[in-house]
Amino acid sequence: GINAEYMGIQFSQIRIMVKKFKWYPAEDEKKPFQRKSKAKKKPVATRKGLNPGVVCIVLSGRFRGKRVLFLRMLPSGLALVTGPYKVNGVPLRRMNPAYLLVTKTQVKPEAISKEADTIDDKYFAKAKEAKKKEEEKLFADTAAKAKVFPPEKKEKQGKIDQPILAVLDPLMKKYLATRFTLRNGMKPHELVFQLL
Amino acid sequence: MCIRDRYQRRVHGDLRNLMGFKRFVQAGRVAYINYGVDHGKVCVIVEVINSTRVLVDGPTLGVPRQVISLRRLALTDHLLKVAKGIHTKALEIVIKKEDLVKKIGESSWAKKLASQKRRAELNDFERFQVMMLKRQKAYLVNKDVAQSHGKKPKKESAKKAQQAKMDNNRIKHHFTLKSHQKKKKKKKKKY
Repeated sequence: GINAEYMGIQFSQIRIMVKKFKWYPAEDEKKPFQRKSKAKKKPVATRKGLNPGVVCIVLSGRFRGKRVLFLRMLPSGLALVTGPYKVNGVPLRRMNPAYLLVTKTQVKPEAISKEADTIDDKYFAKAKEAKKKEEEKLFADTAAKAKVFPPEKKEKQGKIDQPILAVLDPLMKKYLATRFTLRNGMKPHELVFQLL
Repeated sequence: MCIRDRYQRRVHGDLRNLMGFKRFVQAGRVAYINYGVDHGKVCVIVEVINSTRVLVDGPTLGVPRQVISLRRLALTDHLLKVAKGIHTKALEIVIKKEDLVKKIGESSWAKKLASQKRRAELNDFERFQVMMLKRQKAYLVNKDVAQSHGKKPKKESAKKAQQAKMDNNRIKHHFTLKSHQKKKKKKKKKY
């Protein structure tokens, strides 16, 4: 080594920095969370009391406050739910089970037909439109095509709802048609929905 | 009869007490525990320690023999004829003999507590049912009130109307449909 000195620093003390990469990003890239272990994603834990036919109160979203019937848990972890549509306007819909307040009231589980088992997450997938080129889009009809609710889905809704409606008595229908609200004197932490 | 009662009798004759107190803190007084570990239970006062504390016991009632503050107790009308300082076993015999549990259960206080407890346990559908029933009842009651006011009453029918009103449990005598409507009109005038 060179036995020399510069401003009090020995040459031997100096370490030369070499660039490892040619390009360094200005900010740290955000990486999506990746499990370091090979542990598989656990299936969604079954909520206590959440069984087919149970009345649930929807806590958020478009149908907040509505009382709906739980049908089954879908493989994606979402809950399949129905109004029934004719009673309260809630169609076959996927909902986050965290936002469902489970009550003790249950409709006869026999009323939930096996049709509900045939519905999957794919049923709710958005229909893919054919890709249009930019030019085509410009010349496309400005009048928007009326969105028609697919008749197959209407039929499906009817098939699932019919046995349920047959089982519901008028009081139960009124109950499902009414939205849940907090009134004077109701303390949410003291209200009982299901005695666990 | 305890010393106090004898004194009252002697001093005031037939008037048991001048101040109108009826429930005294005395040995044998049945009390309801309002606060603490034994909240909600019924016990018997066995001995008075001082103005704030008493010795209490409830053998078949689930209350262990203990000193408890009077502030935690609510006295009831029931009084057992026991000497002060009675032992637990002897008290148990008295309670069974008097059938205290049954007597307390029959009191309106216990019934109110039971209904309060039931109300607290109502689930969502039951609450809805209660709401529906209340509305039905209110409809029938208001209908009756309106009918009794609709016709201009002669003296006889006025009496009948009064009777009908009194028969309906929850109507307060000063509330009438007309006065309610007048109130509504008055409110509108403000704006």
